[in-house]
Amino acid sequence: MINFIDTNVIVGYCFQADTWHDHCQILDRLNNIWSSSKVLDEWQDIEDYILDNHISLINKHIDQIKRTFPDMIEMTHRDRLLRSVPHKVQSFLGKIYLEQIDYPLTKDELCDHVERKMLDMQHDKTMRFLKIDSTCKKHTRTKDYGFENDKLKPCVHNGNRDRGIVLDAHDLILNMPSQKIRFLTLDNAISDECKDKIITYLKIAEVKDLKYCPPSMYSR
Amino acid sequence: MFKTPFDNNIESAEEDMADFETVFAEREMAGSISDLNEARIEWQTSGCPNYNAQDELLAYSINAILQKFDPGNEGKIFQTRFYKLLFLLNDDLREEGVDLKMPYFWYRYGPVVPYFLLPLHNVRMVSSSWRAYHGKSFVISDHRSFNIQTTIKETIDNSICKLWDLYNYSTTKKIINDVYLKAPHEFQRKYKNFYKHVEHKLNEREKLIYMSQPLKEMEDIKRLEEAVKFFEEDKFPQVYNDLLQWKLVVKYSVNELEHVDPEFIKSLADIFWSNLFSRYLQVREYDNMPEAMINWWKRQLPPKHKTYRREFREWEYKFYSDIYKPTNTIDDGTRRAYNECIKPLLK
Repeated sequence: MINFIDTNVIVGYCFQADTWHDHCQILDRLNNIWSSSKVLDEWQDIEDYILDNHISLINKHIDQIKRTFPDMIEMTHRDRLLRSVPHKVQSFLGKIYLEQIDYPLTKDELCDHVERKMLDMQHDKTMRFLKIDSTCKKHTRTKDYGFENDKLKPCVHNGNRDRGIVLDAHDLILNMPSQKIRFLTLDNAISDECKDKIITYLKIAEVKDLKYCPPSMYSR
Repeated sequence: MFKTPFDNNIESAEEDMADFETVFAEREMAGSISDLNEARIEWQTSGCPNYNAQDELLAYSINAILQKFDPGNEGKIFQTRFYKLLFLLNDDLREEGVDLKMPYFWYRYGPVVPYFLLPLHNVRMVSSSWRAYHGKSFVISDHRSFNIQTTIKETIDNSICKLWDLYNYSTTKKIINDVYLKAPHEFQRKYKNFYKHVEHKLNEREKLIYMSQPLKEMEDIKRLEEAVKFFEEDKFPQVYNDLLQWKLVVKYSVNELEHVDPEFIKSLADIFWSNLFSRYLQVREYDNMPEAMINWWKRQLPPKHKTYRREFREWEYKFYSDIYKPTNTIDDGTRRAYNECIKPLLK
């Protein structure tokens, strides 16, 4: 059985913050995992989004400290530090400033400390991605994939994105007719609304929403 | 007050080693040819309409520089040297109130003067027969007269005489340094200073280690931080996020300078500058360039930016997998706090 994974499954697997992170660890127990170039493109877009909306806030904050704070950071600077933290990363940086920093320390030491924490968190996520990336085979849709069932369009309506990924899975199984394919996702739109149509029209044997599938449900 | 081009307050023993400034200058010169070739190809690809800077003052200046620096018309002025001299002349004359309307833009290896836009009707590019130089140079193929005011002609001639005094017997290094003094952003000078030292250390790493000389990575990190400090977010807001993330990965890679693959560090240290920043620089810092060319470059920015991010991420992945050593000191509470911040983004 081919296990074709949707982007949200990679996200769930890699990011501890994802609600379904534990469920997605099932990937460690599965064989014959596939994704596609579209899946990986979408993953990259999500990485960009996280960079712009999360990591960059911390980076900018560190840059601001370097530019505007004195060389020595005293206890008396703590409130100013906390006030300068962007709201969206307050819980993370607040915890560091309130609980982990021994004041006084140099500005560079403080920034290094925050950078290290952030790098450690990114390291975790990246290593999980590299792990799944090393075991997962990638399919690029073949040029002669010529048709798309119109009945599917109103169902998976996110154009080249979601529908494109489902069609990638379809193309993959067309190229491996002797095998069966299981589509693993966390997307309600695909798993609830379209599941039957996908199974009927696309030669996909199963559509599994990992939200409802605890790891124990799968055999190797 | 005299301003040093690659202002460097950090003295170290490495400065006494092989003339790495010259190596750096040579690389910059070679790079400026690749900048020029890229611009020429893009100019052709973009399908820009025929365009030529027709200014008579510029045509005269080109002829006058060639005559002054190569009176025998032997093809002595190597093309990159010629472009740099032209750039310096243009800059000097502007201060004198004379506008040559010379097209140029700043890019990876300094200002690019696209020869294919210059009024070179009576000038030919030839393969240099001059022994000391390799590559192409310019010669005057057909002497002509110029219809310009005597006072302006005198100003141009005086300016060229100044250039001759300064550069006729000087090294490439001096021209490169002086050209970078004109760079519109301090970040440009600071970044080049950082890269120059890192590249040198990587080239000489085995020797330095053999001689038990410390690599002094902290000095490089300081140079990197210094460059970032001078980055003007308000001028280049589109790449600021990328700069900071790039800096973070470079910083912790340079920290492992003794062990890491030199090609990895060189490519990583270069990628933001060459593949992203310079593209935004060229559409911001230019003069007398055809609008169609600038617009074409601007249209290329979003896809190029996306490509940069994909390329950078590959280096980032390599950094996390091969170079970065996690501290393993993150407690559950910090982990939860971090995840709390990311969670809303994953919905």
